[in-house]
Amino acid sequence: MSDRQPEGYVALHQLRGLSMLTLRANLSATKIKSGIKKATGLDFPKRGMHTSHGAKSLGWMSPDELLIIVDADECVQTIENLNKALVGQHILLEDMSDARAMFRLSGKNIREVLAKLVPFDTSHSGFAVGSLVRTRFAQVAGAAFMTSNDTVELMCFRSVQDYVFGLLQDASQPGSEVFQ
Amino acid sequence: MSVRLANQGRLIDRMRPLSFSFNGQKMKGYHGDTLAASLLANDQMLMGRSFKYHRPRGVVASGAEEPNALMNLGSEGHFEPNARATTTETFEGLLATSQNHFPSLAFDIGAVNSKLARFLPTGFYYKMFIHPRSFWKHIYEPIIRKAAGLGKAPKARDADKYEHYYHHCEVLVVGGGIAGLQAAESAAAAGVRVMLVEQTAHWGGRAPVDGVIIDGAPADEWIKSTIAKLSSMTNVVVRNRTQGSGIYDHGYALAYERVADHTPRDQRPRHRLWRVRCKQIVTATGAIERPLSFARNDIPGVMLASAVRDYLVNYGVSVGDRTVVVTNNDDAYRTALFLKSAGLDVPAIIDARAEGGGELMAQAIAAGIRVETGRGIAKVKGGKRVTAVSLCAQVGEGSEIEEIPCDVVAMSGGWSPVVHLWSHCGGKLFWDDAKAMFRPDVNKPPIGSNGEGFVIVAGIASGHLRSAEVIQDAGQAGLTAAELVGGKKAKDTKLPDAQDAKEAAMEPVWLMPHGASYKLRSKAWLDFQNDVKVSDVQLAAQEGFESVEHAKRYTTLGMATDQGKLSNINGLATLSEALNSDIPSVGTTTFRPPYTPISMASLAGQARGELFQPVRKTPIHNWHNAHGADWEPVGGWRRPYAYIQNSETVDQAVHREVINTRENLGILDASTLGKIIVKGPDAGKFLDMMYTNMMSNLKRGRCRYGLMCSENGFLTDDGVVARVDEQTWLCHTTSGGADRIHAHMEEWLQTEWWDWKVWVVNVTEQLAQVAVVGPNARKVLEKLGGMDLSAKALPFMAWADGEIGGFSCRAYRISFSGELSYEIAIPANRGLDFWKMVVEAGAEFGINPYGTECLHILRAEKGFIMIGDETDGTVIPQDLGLSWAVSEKKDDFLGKRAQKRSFMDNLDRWQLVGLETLDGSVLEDGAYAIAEGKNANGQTNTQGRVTSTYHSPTLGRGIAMGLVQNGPDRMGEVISFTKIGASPVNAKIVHVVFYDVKGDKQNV
Repeated sequence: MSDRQPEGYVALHQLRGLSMLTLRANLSATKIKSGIKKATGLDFPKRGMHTSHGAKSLGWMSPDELLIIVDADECVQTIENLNKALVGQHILLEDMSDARAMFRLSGKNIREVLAKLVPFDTSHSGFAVGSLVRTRFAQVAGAAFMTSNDTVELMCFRSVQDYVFGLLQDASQPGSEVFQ
Repeated sequence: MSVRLANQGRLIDRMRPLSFSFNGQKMKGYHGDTLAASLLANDQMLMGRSFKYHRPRGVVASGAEEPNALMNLGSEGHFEPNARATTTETFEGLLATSQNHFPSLAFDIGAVNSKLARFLPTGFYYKMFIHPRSFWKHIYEPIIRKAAGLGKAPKARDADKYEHYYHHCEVLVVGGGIAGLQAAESAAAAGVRVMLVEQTAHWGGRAPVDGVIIDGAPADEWIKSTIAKLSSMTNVVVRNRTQGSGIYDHGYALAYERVADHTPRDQRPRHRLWRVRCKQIVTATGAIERPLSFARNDIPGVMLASAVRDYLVNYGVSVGDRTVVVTNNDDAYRTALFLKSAGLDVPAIIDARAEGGGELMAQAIAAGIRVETGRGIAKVKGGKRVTAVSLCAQVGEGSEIEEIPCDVVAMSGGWSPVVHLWSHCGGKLFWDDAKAMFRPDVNKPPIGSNGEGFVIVAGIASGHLRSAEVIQDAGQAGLTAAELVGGKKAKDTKLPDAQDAKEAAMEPVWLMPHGASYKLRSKAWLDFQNDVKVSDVQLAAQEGFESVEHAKRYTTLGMATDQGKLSNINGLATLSEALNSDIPSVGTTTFRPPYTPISMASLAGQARGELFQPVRKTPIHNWHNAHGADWEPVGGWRRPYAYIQNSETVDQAVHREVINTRENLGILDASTLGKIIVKGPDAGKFLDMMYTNMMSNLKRGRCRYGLMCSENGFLTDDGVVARVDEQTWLCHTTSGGADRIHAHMEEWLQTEWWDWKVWVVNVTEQLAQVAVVGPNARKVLEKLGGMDLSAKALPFMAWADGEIGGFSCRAYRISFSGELSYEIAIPANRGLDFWKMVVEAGAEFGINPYGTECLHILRAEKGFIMIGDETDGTVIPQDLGLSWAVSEKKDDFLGKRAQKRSFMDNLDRWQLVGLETLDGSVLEDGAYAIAEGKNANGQTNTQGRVTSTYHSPTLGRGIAMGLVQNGPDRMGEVISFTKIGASPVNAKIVHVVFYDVKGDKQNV
């Protein structure tokens, strides 16, 4: 996939060089939570939220699934740290770096562009900075991370990245602004 | 004639003239016009032809309820049929043509139907065209289809853009009249999120036209300041040109925004569909005026009184110099008064009420207008235009008393609240006798998930016809809505004071005159678009169609594109009189969304062209595309069916791929295979339940083919399972089954075995998987080097982690082809590079990529089953000779109990065998094996069917697999199979493995 440079009323970039780990574990267990905190150095996210520092983040995916995103060069170390910190616990840790694609939308209209594709409430009250929502983008599954007031990061399966890119391009086409 | 007046026209901008075209003729209009207003200003009263009789029809209304003035708009990719001229804003360069006539609007051959009307009563089509049966399809239907119908179907691909928008708020207010504005303001004051939508381009609804005074000034001022205030509030979204189209369960509503219908080609989406999720909905949808049923009330120039008023006040258009007003209520007097003050002539107001009206009647008399009470119209004179009306006594049979020449008849039969949105989700109505209207029963609203109502009706839509009541009711509706959704308690805010003239009671008139003769009744139109008359509804009642829903379908009343907005109440009143029953017990037909037709494209939104459907692409997709892939959809993916080289046909390519893979080397993109990691102390126990065979005792480094059944015992998926470590297994699923099997596992773990320590992750997309297949498979991989792939180090059904050509990978020694075969899994991002490396290295060994059809043939030659071919949801493993993979040792597995039922545990079932035609031909897919005799329905008995059938390039003849009754015990027997349009084909029952029965080729 070549790097894409679309012209929209919000900026759209594909994010590369990130590693993603899926951790299945009982996230309400104190030992698990403290182990993850120790291994990653990040606060444990509340339900429906993510925490981050730089490129590194922890995303609450479900009561027993956590998404860990790190720079690709930190991947091996992070796996090692997690395995060490959670040794003896019943967990499943998988490197899913290649399974997904990530996009970043930035600009002041990102909430409305998103609202053309996702059924959840993208307003400030429904989707505050720090939120992580597992949702759908039109016809495919995905997740959205509200990373700052004017950036949102979107994740989808790698096999449908062309479709999602097309959706985002279409939804941000100049002239289709909803609120002026 | 209809003309533009020198003054008036509150919605048009005379400084911005524009030109448009109607039936090829250039016409002038103003910015702010509707197309109907523009046409009337150009004296174009004739706007269409009716559906059945092709009668000439002019515009009747001025809004969404219009039945007649339907147009073809635009051309090519911007063409749209059946657009209502009354809701189409005129713009520079607009192209409109009229519909349903030949050769021209003014002279239409189809109008002969009208002369034959006597022979075309209601139900005529049902009665006539049923005999002889065969005539319907070939003679009647094509002729009727050609003669009837409205706009043309578009031929070009829609060139516009459409989109959806998901909007969340607490309160949605539908309707931007004074009720909607007040409701929105009251709700917004409580701090909750409010959305206000209005279907037209303008706010305020009828109030500014009807001369309503708010807080001592014309309503316009209050409307302007209120909408300005709402627009400036951060918790409010206001949207004009946006129709609240439908209300659905759970506070879901659809709003249809016509963003750029009036500014085509300006890069904006043409329509936007708002998918609104809210907690309370206020429907402030106003009311629609009813026509009166008198003879020849469909002649162009007979219009709703309110519409005549709208064209005058809003667009400065006089529909004609002399207007006779006919009414049963006071409101229509306003039309007479406005016309008079504009200097136009009102020869008479014909009031069906014996006593006439109140304050407004006095004003009319004072203005010098002749008022005839207790009178009705016997008949309208004129053909393509009104020329006169004849008067009669309303109580009589229609003897003509006097003829009054005129150009326009402004009629009013009273008002019907627009209860559609209230009713979409089950809001109930009651009949108000005094006002002669169905009103929402506020005690029986549509019920939401919490058992409470989620729709509140406000203003005229609730049956409050006076402006002061409207404001009070709407203010309360807004407050109530806000309170129900947790808004803060509003301070006592004073509602504005609205005033209009006092009105005397209306008097229902369902037929004019009351005792009209059959001749008059058969010319008194109820449904203008579908040509349904009073006599038709009476005939339906006479023929026993007592239910309003049946009468509707028999007569087609209310079934046109306007969905009976004008005709329904008059129609059901007529029906109730014919049935000697009262109106509430006849009831209404069902109100279904959308309120008016909305574009199909808006429903599709962005899902068209490239975005119509997501296509899943493997990491190697683009390489396939560049190398002649002929695509096949598989479980949301696209997989190459075959790779076409040079001038090959698809069949030739498949043939080449099979031979080459058997003799040299093939490479297959198997990335779509499902891959699920199952881990935990209880993972082995869990997999023993999921699979019919044992997985817990699989040794690390080994693979085992497994079957999965539903709890009903039917085979649902298959694949190879690998033991990764003490607590971890990797399960391969079919390409289409990955998500389904993942969900199946999660469901059992979450609902039934929630205390088992097992985690599951679907890693399908993380890995690319490449199958290297054929006698030279080991050679090419060894050439690339990195790990020991010898038969000793990696025997059949083993796997190992290692490196090939510098790529870290996992190599599985498994085969779905009967050949020496390795499946190599690498991280998806490296899949394409790995593939290219193997293809390059394999050149000297004759490597060719192969597609899914070759895969199918290779497996069929080996007798391997395919989920979805050999299985169809009714097949159990035992039917397929797979009993060896169904453990007898295990206490339990999903499907075990079901498979013990008498009809499952039964050798008489259809079971899998190989089939070899005697003549070498290929059996038809799905062909049935013919048995002796006939069944109870006279159909030939069957004893089996073909499940997979191919031409085998390896064997040079047709091979097939099929399920045959008791098949495995009937080896060598010849049975015959159906062939569509030909004689049955004989085939011999043979062993299911056609090629390399001993498996020597894969075990090298």
